[in-house]
Amino acid sequence: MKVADRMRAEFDRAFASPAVPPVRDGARLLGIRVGGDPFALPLADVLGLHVDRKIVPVPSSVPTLLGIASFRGALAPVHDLRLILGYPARTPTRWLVLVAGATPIGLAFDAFEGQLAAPSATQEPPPPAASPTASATARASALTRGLVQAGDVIRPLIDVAAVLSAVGGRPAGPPRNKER
Amino acid sequence: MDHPLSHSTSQPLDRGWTFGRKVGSGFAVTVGLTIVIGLLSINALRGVVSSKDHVINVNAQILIESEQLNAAIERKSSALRGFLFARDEAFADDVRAARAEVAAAIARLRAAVVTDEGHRDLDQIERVEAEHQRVVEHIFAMRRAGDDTGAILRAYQAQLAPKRDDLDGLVKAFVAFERRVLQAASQTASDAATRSIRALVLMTLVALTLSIGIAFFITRALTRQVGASVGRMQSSSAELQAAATQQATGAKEQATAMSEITTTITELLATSRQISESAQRVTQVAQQATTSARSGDTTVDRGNDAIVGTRKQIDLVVGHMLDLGKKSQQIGGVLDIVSELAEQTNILSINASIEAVGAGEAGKRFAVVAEEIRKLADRVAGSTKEIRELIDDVRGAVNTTVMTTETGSKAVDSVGKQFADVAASFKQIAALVSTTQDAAREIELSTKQQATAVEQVNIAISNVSRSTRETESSSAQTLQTASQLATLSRDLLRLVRAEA
Repeated sequence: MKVADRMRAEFDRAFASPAVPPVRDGARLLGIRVGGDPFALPLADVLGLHVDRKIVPVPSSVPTLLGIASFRGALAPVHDLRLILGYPARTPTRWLVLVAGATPIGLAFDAFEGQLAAPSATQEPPPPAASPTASATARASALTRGLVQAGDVIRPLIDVAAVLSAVGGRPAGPPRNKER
Repeated sequence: MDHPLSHSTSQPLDRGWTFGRKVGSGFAVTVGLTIVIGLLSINALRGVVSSKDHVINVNAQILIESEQLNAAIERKSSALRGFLFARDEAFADDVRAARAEVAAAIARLRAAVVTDEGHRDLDQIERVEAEHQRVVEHIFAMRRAGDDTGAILRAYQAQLAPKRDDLDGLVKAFVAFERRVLQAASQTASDAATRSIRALVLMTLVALTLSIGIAFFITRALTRQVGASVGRMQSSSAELQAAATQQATGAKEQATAMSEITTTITELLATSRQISESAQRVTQVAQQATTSARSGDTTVDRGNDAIVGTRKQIDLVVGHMLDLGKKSQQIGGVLDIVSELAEQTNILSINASIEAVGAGEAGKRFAVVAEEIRKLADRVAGSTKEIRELIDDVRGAVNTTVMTTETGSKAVDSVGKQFADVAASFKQIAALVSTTQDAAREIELSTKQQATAVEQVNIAISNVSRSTRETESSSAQTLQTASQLATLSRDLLRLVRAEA
């Protein structure tokens, strides 16, 4: 009952406190979880956050391509961020973000943890690989641009441009008969 | 150890004749001989007496009768002479009387005489007397006729005198014969007496010899027998002496053992009393235990009722808990909806803020609202998460409680069964305690009886101890007596055997 009281008081206090303007001096980030590891995604690169969006699979030679989905009447390819970052894709994903590029691309990931406000993004290089997921970490480090600390968690900041180039540097898509 | 007298008593005496029997037999033989001698003496004496009586009664009587005959004849002659002289008839009567006497005497003699010669003499006397009578009658007739005296005298001289002489001669010859017969009979009687005397002397000598022989044999046998017996008695008394010594030693040891037994019995008595008191206490404790077991039985029954009530309460609690679990699940469902709404709200707010950024300056105020909405959504999400955790905790707690309660219910069931077992055990305990009480009472009684018996045994042992002491003293006396008996048997042996 104490917990409920505390929660009720906190909830009431949130409504009673005056509105606070958003932080200007830091980048706004989305906290996500890919392959069990925390990552951060710059909100400036994000066009939209979606959940349980229907993805229509299409045949492709690109292993990371899950399929295509509809966003406000426009179709966009959806790639599995786990595969892009070098993680195995064992379970289906619910979440995806639409990032801005030459054409919008959907990136599917495991879980959405919330919106973050990082005062500044550190430019330190990622720590050397020493874990069993060494290849994934090595691949991910190539697609990130430093670490950000939000709360107690230090997250690699995903370089959307690098991700897009990693996806888009590939041929747009092989012919269907070749695929077959 | 063999009894020293056993073999001597079991061994029979010589030829099985006892001392008294031998002496009695000797005396019996002697008395028998004496009786035989006496009988023979009586017989001999009776023969002598009868022969003498015969001599006196028959032969002497014959002589007397002969004298009376002689006298009657003389009287007849005298009466004849008187008649002749006085011619008185009275004298004639006397003559007749005398003649009757003569006849009577002859008749008596005939009855008494046994010899043929005597009878012939008597016949002759009778015949001569008859002739004499005829002569007497003739002379009487002459005298009565008044004949001449001279003629009468001559007739007397010539006829009567010779007859008278013949008669006297016959009578004298008869008397002499009978006198000889008397002498012969007397001599025969004397000879018989002499033979009897000789026979008696001979018998007496034989009896004396036999008595001496019997006395010698009896003395010899008795000496041998008594000597052997006394010898055995001597050895027996020596053995008796040894046995008495052993008995004295044994009695002393027995007295010591008896005193030890008395001490042990006294300790046993004390132990018995202690046991009796303990058994009494056990009985009291068993009584208390019976009471406690009965009250425990009641308590167990009440506990059983309480367990049944508890079981119902637990069933109620389980039902409530299951309801609570269902409600928690429903809350979880509602919370899922809230969580999804918060998530959607969050997504919407993020997308709205992105759109607001895209709207430029006009979207800034909208961005603020979107931010606020996002914060709210975050908070709702956080709160939902906490509520979910709480609900999970509650459900876990409910599950745990239900499981625990079911375990408790099973435990209560088990306890109920155990309580039933306990109740049965209590009843059994009560019965057993009652049995124990009875047994303890019996033990108490038995121990009291035992104590009484031990007291009696103690008294008996004291008596036995006293008897043992007396036996000890009497053993000493027995030893002394055995020593005296040994001395006595030596003396007795010396009496029987001079060389001993």
